[in-house]
Amino acid sequence: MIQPVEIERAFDSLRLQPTSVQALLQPVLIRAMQDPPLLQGLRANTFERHFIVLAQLILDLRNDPFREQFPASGAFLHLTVGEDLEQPAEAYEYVRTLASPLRERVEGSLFHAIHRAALRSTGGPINLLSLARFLRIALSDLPFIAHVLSGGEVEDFLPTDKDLSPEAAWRVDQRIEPTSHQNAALSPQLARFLGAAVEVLTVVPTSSGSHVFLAIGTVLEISPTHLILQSLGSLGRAGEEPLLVSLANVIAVHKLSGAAA
Amino acid sequence: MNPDFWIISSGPVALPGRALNREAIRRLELAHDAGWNCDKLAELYDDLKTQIERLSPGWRATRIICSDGSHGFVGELRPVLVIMTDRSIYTGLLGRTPADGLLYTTGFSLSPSGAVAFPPPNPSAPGTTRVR
Repeated sequence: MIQPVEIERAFDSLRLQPTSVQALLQPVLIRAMQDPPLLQGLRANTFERHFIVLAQLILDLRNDPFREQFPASGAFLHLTVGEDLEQPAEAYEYVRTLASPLRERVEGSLFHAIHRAALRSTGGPINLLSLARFLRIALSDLPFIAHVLSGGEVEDFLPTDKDLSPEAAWRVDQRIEPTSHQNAALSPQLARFLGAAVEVLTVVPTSSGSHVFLAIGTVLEISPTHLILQSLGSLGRAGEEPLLVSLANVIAVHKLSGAAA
Repeated sequence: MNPDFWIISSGPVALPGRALNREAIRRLELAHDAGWNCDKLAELYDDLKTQIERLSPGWRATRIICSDGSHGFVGELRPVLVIMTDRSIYTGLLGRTPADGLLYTTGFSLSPSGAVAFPPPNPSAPGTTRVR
């Protein structure tokens, strides 16, 4: 099993990379730290080597090289014969447990790793099962990877003062909860939803296309950019926590009650 | 047309993640003021940041655990948000050592679950601001 100091070394190596590469791989590194099966599957002093192979596979996504059909189990294992690769059968079985479309993405990158011997010339065997686990972490966030690889801007994490409208800044300074009357930027049409029980129909883009969600609850807050719903629940999620909904993704809001704050 | 049924907009449009994060942090502040504990605050922010990530492809916050039970969220490259076990909330930087970051990448330890945890945050590090 690897030691924590190996991950510290991986952070140090990552700091030497271009900013875009750091932005791409730092989240993967952090999430890998929290994956005990991945960490336990690696022998001591092999973490960084596998991370480098993963990094190259991610950067290769720019060229979209993964068009080949993933072979059947026997053919897959034959490809690994004589190669410096460990646990190919286990890797194959693991990949088959993943849900589509993540499975196809991991399959493609794993197949690419086997074909590109140069990727693996980093001084020792590569454990395919651990590489598959690494790929699952990395490729489950494909929208971010695709965004960065296509030259998209990596947004600042923390808000700045200019992110606050004058009304919102005043509201935060005064610690006053918003109402439709205090926020002059809010149209009367939007203000009428405050405090009302509503159905909210939203479209959320995902890596596999857009999904439509329906949420029902009480509008705790509404602004020209977002609303916060005390949700009674929506498809696939419990309704205990307030739901932050961007109005950019809202298709329609259906008022269920006439109550207004 | 049903007067209670208003078409507001259609189609997904990416919004600046950091502006939405302003609202998420404000909700975190309100939950803090309402007395929520450290774990519940972290779950709330985790839920809100996940929603922001879906709306803004270029905005990311990766959750981490610290060996003292504090929760952290690492943003693009260096900015971080930390919820300490005493419920205090800080923003700061990811550094290499305690001298240069609220969170830092030396002194990792294995947690009982087998995951690797960050060391306890250092709220005295330069660039650190207390939110609550």
